[in-house]
Amino acid sequence: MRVVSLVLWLVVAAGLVVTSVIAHWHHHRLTQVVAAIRSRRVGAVLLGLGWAWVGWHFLVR
Amino acid sequence: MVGEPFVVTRSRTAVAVAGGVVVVAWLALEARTHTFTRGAEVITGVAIVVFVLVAAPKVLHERVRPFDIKGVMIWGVAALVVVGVELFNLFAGPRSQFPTISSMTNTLVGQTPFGRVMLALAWLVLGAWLVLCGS
Repeated sequence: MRVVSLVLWLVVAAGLVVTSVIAHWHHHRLTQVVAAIRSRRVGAVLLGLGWAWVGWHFLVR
Repeated sequence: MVGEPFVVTRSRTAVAVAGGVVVVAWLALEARTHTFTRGAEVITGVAIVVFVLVAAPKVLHERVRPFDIKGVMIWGVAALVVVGVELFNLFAGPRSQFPTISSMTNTLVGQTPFGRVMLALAWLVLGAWLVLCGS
């Protein structure tokens, strides 16, 4: 693995953690966004398709 | 009836125990499969169908919730960054030098039965979180 690529992923992971903490403080939590998407029929279908794709991609392909 | 709550509680406990047994059995089957095999397709496909059938009644009867626009913008940017890095690595070159998320997880945990169980469990937890979060 190239060091640059590893560092890039570590920066992304750290950025997600920081984003999560700041969003939590300011009450813009990911759970609220996901719940709003899920409460709409199209959003629920898209979330379901996304979840199914993730499982297929990681466990089958 | 005085006894009704007790009966309901016992019923829910029985459903939870049965669900737990099914999940453990499914994880055991998933641990025995490998990627790119018919077994993995069947076991994972069955899980998708069962999960959708279980989750659909709860999700489809949910009241519509308002969007938090700032939240959407913050998490939308975060998602774009992750997708951008993933796509960059996907098209940049050899996977060994530009790893994607799935190539990293496959190398780190996807090669052993225990690792596959961890991946499968994480996927189930993600699904449960998507269905239950914020409710």
